[in-house]
Amino acid sequence: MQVSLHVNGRPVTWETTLSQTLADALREHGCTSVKCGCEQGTCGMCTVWLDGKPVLSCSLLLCRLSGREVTTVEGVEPQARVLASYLVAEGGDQCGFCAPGYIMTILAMEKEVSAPVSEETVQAYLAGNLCRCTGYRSKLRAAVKYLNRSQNGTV
Amino acid sequence: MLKLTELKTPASLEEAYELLRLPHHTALAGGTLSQLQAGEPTVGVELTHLLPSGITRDGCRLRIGAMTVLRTLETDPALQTGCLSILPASVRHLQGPALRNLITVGGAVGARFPQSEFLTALLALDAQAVLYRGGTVPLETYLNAPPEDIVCELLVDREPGQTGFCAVRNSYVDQPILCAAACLREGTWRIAVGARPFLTEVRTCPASRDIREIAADCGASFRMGDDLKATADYRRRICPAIVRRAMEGEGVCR
Amino acid sequence: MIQKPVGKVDGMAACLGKPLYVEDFIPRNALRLKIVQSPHAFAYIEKIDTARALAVHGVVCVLTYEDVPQDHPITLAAEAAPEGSTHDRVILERTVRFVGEPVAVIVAETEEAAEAGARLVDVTYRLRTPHFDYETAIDDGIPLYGPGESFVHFDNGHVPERNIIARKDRVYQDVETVLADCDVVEDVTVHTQAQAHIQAETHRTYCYPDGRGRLVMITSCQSVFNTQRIITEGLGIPAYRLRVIKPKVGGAFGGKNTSYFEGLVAAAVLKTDRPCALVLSREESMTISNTRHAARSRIRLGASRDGTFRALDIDMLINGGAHGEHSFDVLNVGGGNTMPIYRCCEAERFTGRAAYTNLVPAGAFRGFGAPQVVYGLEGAVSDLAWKLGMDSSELRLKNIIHQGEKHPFLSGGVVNSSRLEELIRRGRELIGWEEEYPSHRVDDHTIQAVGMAIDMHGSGIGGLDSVNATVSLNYDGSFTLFAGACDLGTGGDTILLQIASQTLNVDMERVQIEVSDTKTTPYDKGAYASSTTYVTGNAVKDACEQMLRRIGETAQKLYGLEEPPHLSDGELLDGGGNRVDTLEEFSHKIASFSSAEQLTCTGAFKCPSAPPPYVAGFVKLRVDTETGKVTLLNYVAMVDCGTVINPNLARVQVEGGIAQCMGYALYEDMRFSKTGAMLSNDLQKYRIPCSMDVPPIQVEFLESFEPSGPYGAKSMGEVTFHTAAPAIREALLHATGCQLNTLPITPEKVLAALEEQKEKGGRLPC
Repeated sequence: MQVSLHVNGRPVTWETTLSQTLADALREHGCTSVKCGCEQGTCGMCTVWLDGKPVLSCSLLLCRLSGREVTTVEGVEPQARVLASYLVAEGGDQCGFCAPGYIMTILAMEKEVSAPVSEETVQAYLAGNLCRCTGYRSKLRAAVKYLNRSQNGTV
Repeated sequence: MLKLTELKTPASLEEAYELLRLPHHTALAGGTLSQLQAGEPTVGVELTHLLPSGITRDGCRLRIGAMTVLRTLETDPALQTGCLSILPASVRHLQGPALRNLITVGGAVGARFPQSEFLTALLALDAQAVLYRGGTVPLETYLNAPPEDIVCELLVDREPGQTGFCAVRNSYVDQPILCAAACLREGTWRIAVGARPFLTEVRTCPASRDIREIAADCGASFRMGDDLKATADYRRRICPAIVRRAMEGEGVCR
Repeated sequence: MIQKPVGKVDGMAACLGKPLYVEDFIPRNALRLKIVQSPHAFAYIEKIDTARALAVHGVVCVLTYEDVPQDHPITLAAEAAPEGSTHDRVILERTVRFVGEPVAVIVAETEEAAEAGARLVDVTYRLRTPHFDYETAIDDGIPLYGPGESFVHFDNGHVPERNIIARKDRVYQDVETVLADCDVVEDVTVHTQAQAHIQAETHRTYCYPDGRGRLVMITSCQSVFNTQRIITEGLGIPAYRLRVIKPKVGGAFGGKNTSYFEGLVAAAVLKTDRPCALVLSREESMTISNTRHAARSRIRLGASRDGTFRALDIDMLINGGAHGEHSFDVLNVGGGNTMPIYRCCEAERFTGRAAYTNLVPAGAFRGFGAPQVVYGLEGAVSDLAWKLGMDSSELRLKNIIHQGEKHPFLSGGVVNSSRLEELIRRGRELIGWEEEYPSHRVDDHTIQAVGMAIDMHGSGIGGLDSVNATVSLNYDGSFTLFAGACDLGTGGDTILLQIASQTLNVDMERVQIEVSDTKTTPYDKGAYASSTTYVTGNAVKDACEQMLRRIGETAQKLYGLEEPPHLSDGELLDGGGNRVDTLEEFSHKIASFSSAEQLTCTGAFKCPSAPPPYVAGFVKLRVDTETGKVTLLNYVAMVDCGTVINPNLARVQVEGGIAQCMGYALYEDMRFSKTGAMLSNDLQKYRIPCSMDVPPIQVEFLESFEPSGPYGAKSMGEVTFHTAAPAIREALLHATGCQLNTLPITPEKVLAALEEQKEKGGRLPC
């Protein structure tokens, strides 16, 4: 079967099956930013946007997403780069496997909150993004600095 | 992962209802349930386009459409403070926004998860379920009835009384070891205890005694069990304290 | 370039999701593998019937024990030769010894076909009686290995007929006599659980034939050379026929330090002559790879009444599971990386045993035996302080080892760099020890307390580790650094670049690094035992120092100078500081027709001893006396890892290690059914800390100078782990008076301890 939707701003029509997840479909079509960490919807590493809102792509079947808009890191690269530069500056990228999911989550958060943002707020927002390398503190520092960058005079 | 043999998109709720009565037909809303289910391949029945979404005021009640996602419930301005703030409190620990942007109220209710804090809060609030065929029934009735009907909306009183919510868990995003919600209205307590690890149940008792006494007796009346997270014995020991704290208003954002 | 918070060289690309990991390299035409798992914990395979599986459309072949050599057991532990691990494996077994052990491998055109085929393999088993309890497995269990089924390179204490994987004994003087003479003896036995690595990226391997009779393997591993050696040994092919490459790895923590699955993929390529790939699900990674060793550690600490330690006796029993990889070295580390943190007592002894059980094997996991013992050792110290009425930090200050002091169990024998005393003093200040010690009541059901613990680890493995590193001057004036080392996400590559550019006195941009490829990079043991900074760093520094000399000699000849010029900031300068030439021009010249002399230098480092880094960890927490729930408020980590090459990366290593140990301390728990199946087999049942679970962690480094380390650096990949659990135990002792000796410290265990104490007439301290 085929399904037509928008991915990263472009209309696409993809071959799919009744069991293919959005995560698998995105990877199949070159979005290597989408990672599968648990096949259960528990780790947050597969986070993408559906109609602009963060969702778990491993929990969605592509065949149900006709006409919808999907965004991955590849689709917001300029903005992702800015946030990523904060993360790399903290050393919080580490193995990097959970980083794309983290980026889509924080960029989504940016649309929902206004600076100044506290560390506690970011901490709660990130609760569904598991990370085994960093212990989260550097990821929080980076996100807080990024979200408050206009306040700090840095861009 | 749930395996679909077919995907059907019914044109009406009537059609959806008839389909869901057939064997091996499963309702599809947010889609997150399918991650946790295995078993026989099934026909997926799309429901999202047929059911209401959003929270609206209807006199003294809130109407919560079945396709409202938990994230919407969690962030609704009307629920941030006051007695209904136990609803956001009851979904806050479900991982992160990405999951809560998918789980629908209807899906959460229909799944009848024993660990569901959301159901526990709803039961204490004496929420009503508006069913497609069955009309408006207490949520308690729906939970205990066979899952043959479709939940279209939930109804919750905007002023349900004095409330509280309390849970014990390991990691912040872990299912609770035990959770309790309480609501005092017109001299009667509704106390719901969930994650026992059995499906949440509610008890009512008059507010005629000391809170500690009520909590102790009520706590002892729930059946507890063992699972990987804790033993029945532990749950029995902490239940009075959890219930008492819910009765004292823990979990309510003022 | 060192002591600078440089960002990781591949950080941005990873954040943006560029194709860097194994899965990103698997082409569409690769065959996909699916492992058929044993449902039984102990069974002999009488017959495997693959007819139904082969009939599935898309299934190309099915591998069984008949496809791989069975005649001589190997170890899959990716450690340097000669391996200390007991050899008890073949690539595909005929006897399965744990639930989930691979029985067969389906090789198919698609994952769906492979999964379908996996359900249709018919196996006839002859069941044997499994044994799951490691505390009774030695002597009480049926031996897992019969004669000829296991092998050791040297006597590591392996006694298969008694289910002993390995033993390690250390003895200094007569501990029983001294213990009998002590004023007080703390005798504590702790049980620590198996822990799952839960690295973000599960195990996966891709392998393809290169058309020249060789296999090229791209795999998520920790040592390309060790993997190459043991897989080819297991398949009976020469090592040079397998090229192993490690691309970017999504975390390992020791879980990929054993080559569980590479042999299967290589065997599939040999059989099909096609590219093959295996990507494990999270459940498979949890259930059929490896875990941390569960352990029982009994500590007897004898002291005089003033708190001076006089005797230390540690008895460690670890659960090695069904296979013996890494168990011997875990015992080694259990005594060697723990006891020498305190001044040598009059007598000390370590007795270590590793037992076989029919459970998923235990393997390498950050800390590698030390966290298990430290939980007991620091527990004994906490208990002793409590009993003597002494401040636990003072008791430690009284007994810790100092720089210049010796210990018979310490690698290298003497401490050459340590600021451990200052770590304790400074850490106390930062946590507010004086105000908080030991505990106080917050309200009628909440008590707040502080606790601390100290630990050490090693930097590489003394007397065993050896690595080479090569640096080459390119014709354009840039350098290429070739290192077989394996960056697992820690930033090892970046550290090596910092060391190289520091030594060569050039900007980091001028140095490119090629890593982790058996074909193009020189031998390196790989990333385990905290080696990259110290061991490979030294080899890199050596290679670069040689390069400086070669550049000088070559330039001297080329330009006809009296003395060799020196390289400074990309320029060759003579003795008077005058510029002779730019490095770039020099490089053009020596590459040209007149010279044809590319400069390449290979440095080496043999690790004579493993200088210990140190951590002092302090926790502030609250305990709810009605529910037993523990809430962590704050953590302070003071670290001495010598010179800190990269403060940001080092800080994140500390925060990450502590967070992992917080999960280990409070809720991570591997549980098995009565038939040996893993019950906690997904991330809902086995929880690791999330962002909300990790409190603020304050990290400070006090740099000692390790004379044998590159620019004074020691390694620190593992030492960051061990303190959180014993610090939490001590804080809870201070809060409740209870000794929590079994990990994880769940709310249930805390409540049970409180109730037991009440029943015995005990009272809370406050």
